[in-house]
Order: sequence, then structure tokens, then C-alpha cells
Amino acid sequence: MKPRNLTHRFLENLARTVDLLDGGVKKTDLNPTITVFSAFTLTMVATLSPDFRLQTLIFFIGVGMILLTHSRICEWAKVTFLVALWATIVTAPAAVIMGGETVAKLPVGLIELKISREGIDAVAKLVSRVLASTAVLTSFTMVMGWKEIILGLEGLKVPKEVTSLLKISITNMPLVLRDASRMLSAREARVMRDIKLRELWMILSTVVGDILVRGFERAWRLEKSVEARSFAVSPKKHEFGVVTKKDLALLLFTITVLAFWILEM
Amino acid sequence: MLLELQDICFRYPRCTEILRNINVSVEDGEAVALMGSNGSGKTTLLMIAAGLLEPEKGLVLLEKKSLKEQLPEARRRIGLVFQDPNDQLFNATVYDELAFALRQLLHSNSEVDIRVKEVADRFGLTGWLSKTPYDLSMGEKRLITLASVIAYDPDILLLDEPTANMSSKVVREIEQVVVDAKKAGKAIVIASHDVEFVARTSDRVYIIYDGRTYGGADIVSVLSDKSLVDMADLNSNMVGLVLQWLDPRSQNPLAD
Repeated sequence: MKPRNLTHRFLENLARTVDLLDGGVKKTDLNPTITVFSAFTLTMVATLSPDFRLQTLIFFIGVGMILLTHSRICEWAKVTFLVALWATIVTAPAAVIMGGETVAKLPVGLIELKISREGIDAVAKLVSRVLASTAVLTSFTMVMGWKEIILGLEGLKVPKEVTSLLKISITNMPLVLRDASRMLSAREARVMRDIKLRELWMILSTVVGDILVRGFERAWRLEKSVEARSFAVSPKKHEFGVVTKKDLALLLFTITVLAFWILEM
Repeated sequence: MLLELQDICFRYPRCTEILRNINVSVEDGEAVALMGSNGSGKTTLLMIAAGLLEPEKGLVLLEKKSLKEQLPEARRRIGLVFQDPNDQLFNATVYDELAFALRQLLHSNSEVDIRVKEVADRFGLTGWLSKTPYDLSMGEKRLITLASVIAYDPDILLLDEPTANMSSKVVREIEQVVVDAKKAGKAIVIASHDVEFVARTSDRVYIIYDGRTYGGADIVSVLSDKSLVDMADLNSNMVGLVLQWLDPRSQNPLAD
């Protein structure tokens, strides 16, 4: 059944995205710890490095991961390019704000905006960083799925409390979103006549309070549920898992990129 | 006495006192029911018995020693099944849900795996192990919550409204779990409105009314007492039927 309006569709799609990364990912034979380490390192280098060549290389690693694992390239492209578009919109004013050599003049009403070469450079650098880092992080996330990412974080010795919280949050996100959708439906069902948009908005916006109250109550019960089955036994040691040639190649590649970046600095 | 609650008083912040001098006890191999109207404090009492809430006054004793002093290790001896399965389930798959406690208690993944499959087989959950619990029906979720507790074999089972909104097939399965647990010498505390289920499973019944416990005797004695039946706000027709079934000579206290 297709959700009726835009809000319902948005909430349902958001829930489905989280679900998809939770259970819809094909099992890969990559070592979670090495893969998460590579994902975070490459994302960090893409974000911080000003070198366009390094960013291009990292972008294509993202593309390569998606192609090699036969993941859904359309979904990957949607996320990556939407984020890049958003970054372009946000950073575009820098082209006219920053001073320097004027390359073009843009008349807007009574004023004339001067687009500088330095401004365009700054926008291009920022967008390319965003594009490369989003591309690589999205591809690794799609390839691994939440469960493998959390396993990888455990392998990287991230505190157990953080990984447990992540696990619970990820499981509960779709539930909260679907709850919100149901609460909206319950309100809509009691709107019996055509009312003004402002009035409708005031009715529907009360859902926020309900979500907060229900979220608090649910969190309290979940905490009790976890507590009821926690026995304070020393936790088992994390198993590192099998390391294959693919993992070694990925690790070697990541270390090389990291070394280039450090030398460049 | 395996589990004993002595003079328990409790209030939620900025609320009136919900429990006043509650006394409940349960022994090995015994099932005890807590009955009372909505909001009488049954769930709160179970949470106190599980050591999840601390009473303002009174003592919770596990084998005559304070439960508070034995926490959190004592939790492996107490299994609480929540009223709403959605409140209890928090893992991504049914397998992880069943394995959550076992992963803390058993040493190797293979031991966990064997036990999970054993329990899944017993509850008919084998085909669902890789599924997300939230996608299943309410009855299936209820079985998962029960299985996740039975998996670590606690000595005391606390069941909060286990049969609420369940079909008769699921109720029969829950009943079987209680009967088996009793045979295995476990102590069971059931908070329920379901007179028939309580009659089939429980040895003694406590009525909680106005924050206090009444009764504590066998089900026929409790259901034959009109004042206790009124306090618990029980379905009069069901009380009559159950009494007839338990003891054909008895009289329905609510009959005109």
C-alpha cells in the first residue's frame, strides 16, 4: 500500500532506508574491523585533504566498492549527489563574498555581484570534499550494513556502551518513524471537514509532543528490559574474524592514501 | 521462601502512593497470581520484584537475602516478561533477542548457538530466527519474549499480563510454559486479568486493591469471596464459569 501524502511517504521512506541498511544488505566476506577502519580513514582524508587528486581517487574507491559488491548504485548516487547539491547551494555565496580576481559580474537588481576566482576555488574545494567523503562513506555503509559497522566499531575498541546504544537506536528508529506516521493518521482521521492549512498544521503539529512523551516512555521501558537481562558478567572478548587477501588489499590501499595525505601536509 | 516481598511501599515521582505495605511470597514449584483492576500496581510490583525499581519502604528477599545486595548477578535467576512485547524486544533479529542474555553467560558462540536453536525449536521459532521481531504478529512477539527469558533458565518467572490480546493458541502455549516451569521447580508470579488462565495455572491468588494485598489463598477461596472479586474488578460470568469448572458445588458470589 502506498502512503497517502508527502509527510507519510517521507516518514515511511526514512524508515525503509534504516530497515534496508539493517537487514537488506548482502553478506560480504570483508573483515568488519578493517573495513570500518578504512571507511573512517578514507572519509577523514577526503574531508580534510585539499588535494583534488586524492579526493578524486577516494570518490572512485566509493564507486568501485558499489560496483564490485553489486550494490544498488542508484540509491548510492541519489544520496551522494543530493548531499553534493546541498553543499553547492550552501557554499555558493562564498563565490561572491570572497574577494580576489573578478571573473564575472552578476547584476541583481540595483547591485552587481562580483564572482571571484578565489571564491569559485573555495566553493569547488568544499564541494569536492563533500562529494568524495559522502561517496566513500555511503558506499561503505551500503556494502556493510549497520550490523557489520557495529561489529567493526567493536573491533576498533569503541566502548561497549556506545555500540549497544547504536544498536538499539538503529533498531528503534523505524519504529519511532512508523509510530509518528500512525499518530498523524489518527489525527487526520478526526478531521471531518475542510479546514484551513494553518488550522490543520496546528492539529498535526501536536504529534511532536506525543512523539516526545512516547519516546521517553519507550526509552524507559527499553532501559528496564536491557537491565532485566544484564548480569554484569565480564563481556566476551571480541573476535577479530578472518582476514582475507581482499581485506589486506583494502588495508594497504587505505594506509597508502593516509601516508600520501600526511606527506602532503 | 524463594522470593518474598515484605511491606513494600512505592510511589512514582510526583504521584500518590501506588503500593502500600504489599506482602507477597512465592516458593519453588509454585505459581502465584496477582489480580487487580487497571492501574492497581501489578506491573510496578513485578518491576520491584525483578529489582528494576527500588521500593520506598520494605524489602525484596531472594532466598531470605536482600535482592538489592545480590544485584546485578541475581538477575540471571529472575526472568521478567513485559506486558507489551514491543517494550521488551530491542534486538535486530529474533536470534539476537534469544541470544542476548546467553552471550553474557555462555563462553563460546557455538554454545550460544546450540541453546538458541534448542529454545527456538521448543517455541516453534526456528523459521523466524533471521527475521526482525518488530515485523511479526503480537502473538509471535509474545512467544519471542517468553523464549528470550526461558533461554537463560531463570529460577523465578515474572509474567506481566502474558495472555492479554493473545489468541487461544498462544494462550495454550503460554500455559504449557507455566506448567513446565512449575514441574521444573521454578517459582512463577503472574499478573493477570484472565481468570481462566489464572485458574489453570496458579496455586494461590493475591488481589491488589488500593495499594494493598488481599487474599493469598487458593483460587476457589478467592473467587468465592464476593468482596475480593469486586476489588479485583473481575468478569462475573467468567468467575461463575471458572468456579463451576473448579468446584461444581461452589456458588458464584456475583450471581443474583
